[in-house]
Amino acid sequence: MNKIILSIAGAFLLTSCGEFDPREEYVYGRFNSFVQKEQETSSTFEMKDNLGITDSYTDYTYRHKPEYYNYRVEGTINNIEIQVIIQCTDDGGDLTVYCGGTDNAKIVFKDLNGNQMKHKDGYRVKVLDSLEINGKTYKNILEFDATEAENNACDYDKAYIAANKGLIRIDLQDSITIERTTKKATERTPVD
Amino acid sequence: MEYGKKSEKKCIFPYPPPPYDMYILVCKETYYMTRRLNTFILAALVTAATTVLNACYCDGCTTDTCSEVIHEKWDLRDFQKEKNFFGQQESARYSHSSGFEVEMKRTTDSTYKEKVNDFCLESIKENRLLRYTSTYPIMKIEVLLGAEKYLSYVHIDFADNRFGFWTDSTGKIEDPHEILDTASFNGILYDSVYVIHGYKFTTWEQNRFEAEQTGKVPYAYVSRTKGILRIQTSDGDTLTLIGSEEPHE
Repeated sequence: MNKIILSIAGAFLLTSCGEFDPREEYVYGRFNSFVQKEQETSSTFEMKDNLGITDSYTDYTYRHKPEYYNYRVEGTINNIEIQVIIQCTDDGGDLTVYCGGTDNAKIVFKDLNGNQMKHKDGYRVKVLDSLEINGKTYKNILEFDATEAENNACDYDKAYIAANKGLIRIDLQDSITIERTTKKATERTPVD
Repeated sequence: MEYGKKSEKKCIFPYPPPPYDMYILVCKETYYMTRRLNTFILAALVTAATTVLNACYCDGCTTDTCSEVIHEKWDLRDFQKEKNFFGQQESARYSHSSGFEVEMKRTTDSTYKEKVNDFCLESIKENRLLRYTSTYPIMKIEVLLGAEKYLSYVHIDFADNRFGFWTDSTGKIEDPHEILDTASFNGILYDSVYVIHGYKFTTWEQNRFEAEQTGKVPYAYVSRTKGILRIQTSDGDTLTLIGSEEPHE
C-alpha cells in the first residue's frame, strides 16, 4: 500500500512545482504581482468604447499564492475573449495568453523575468506600474501588446489587465478604445 | 493493521528524501490514507458488481456484441447546399437594440465530413458551417447545417445562445414552436416567419457545453427565403435585419 501512496506522491512531485512556501518566489520579475492572493471570484462589469457603445463583460479569476493566476474574460455584445494564465515552472514561470475568437490562438511567454517579455512572433507583455482609466488609477497592469506581431491572431491590438481588478482596457483596429467604466461591478464568489 | 492505530512500519523514502510536508503526508497520515483507500476499493467493487448485474438482468440493457456493423453516409440535402441558405445573403445589415448597426458578412463557408460511431452503426455525416461576422462591434453568427438519416438539422449560434431545429429533406421546418403568418421587422413586413425557441449555454466557469434553461427564453425569427430576421438573446438584446427590397415573399 505504501508503494502506491509513494508512487502517487512521486507523480505529484514530478508534475508540479512541488511544495510551495508562501515566502518564496516562484514567478519571477514584476509578473509576481499577479500571484499574491488567494482568490476565486467572478464578476460582471461595464466597458464603454469611444464610439459610445456600452457592453457588459463577465470575468473569472482563480489564483493561488504564490504560483498560479488564471483570468478569463468575455464581452456580451463584442465577441472578445481573453484568458491569461501565469503558472510556476523551474525557470520563473510561464505566462500564456489565449486570444479567444475563432482560432483561440495560444501565445506562451516562457521563463518570466523583469517587467517585460517578447514572444518570438512579436507579441509582448509588460507589467506597468499604474494606468489611469476614467479618472481611476489602477496598479500593477499587465499590458498585452500584439501590435508588432507578425500575424496578429487576436481580434485586438492591446489588452490591459489590472492585477487586482481584471480587464480595464482594450485597444483594437487602430482607433477603437474600450475602457472599463466606474460603474460598480457585481461580484460573486463561486461555491462548490 | 487495525484502524485508528498508527502503523509501526518504517517509512522508506527514495533518495533524495522528499520535503518535510511530504514526510507528514506519507508517514503520519499513512494509516488514514490506507483506510480511505480501502473504502474506495470497496466502493469500486460494489459499483463494478452492480454494473455487471445491471448488464445481465436489466431491461433494455444489452450484452450483445455487434455481429455486423452497418455503414451509412449522410450527405447534405440540396437545400442545405444552396449558396444563400434560407436566403441569408452574403452580407446583410442588422440593427442592434443597443443602438448601432452592423454589417454581418459571410466569412466562412466550409463543408466537412464527420465520422460517428454508434454501436452497430458507423456513419459519415456531412456538415456545413456558415459563419457571419462583423468588423466592429465584433459579432458572430454561426449556422451549422447537418445531415441525418431522415431529417436534417440546423443550429444557429449567437452570443452563447443556440437555436436548433429539424427540417425535412426539402427544408421545411419540422415542428416549429410557432409560425407567424406575417411579422414586421424594421418596418418591413415578412410572411411565414418561423419562431425558434433557443437556450443559452452556461457560463464558461461552469460547463460551457452544458445547456441551461434560463428564465428568459431566447428567440430566433427565421424566414425560409430571407434568412435570419431577428435574434433575441436571453439577455434581451436583439439583432434585427434591416431589409431593403421586396418586403413580401
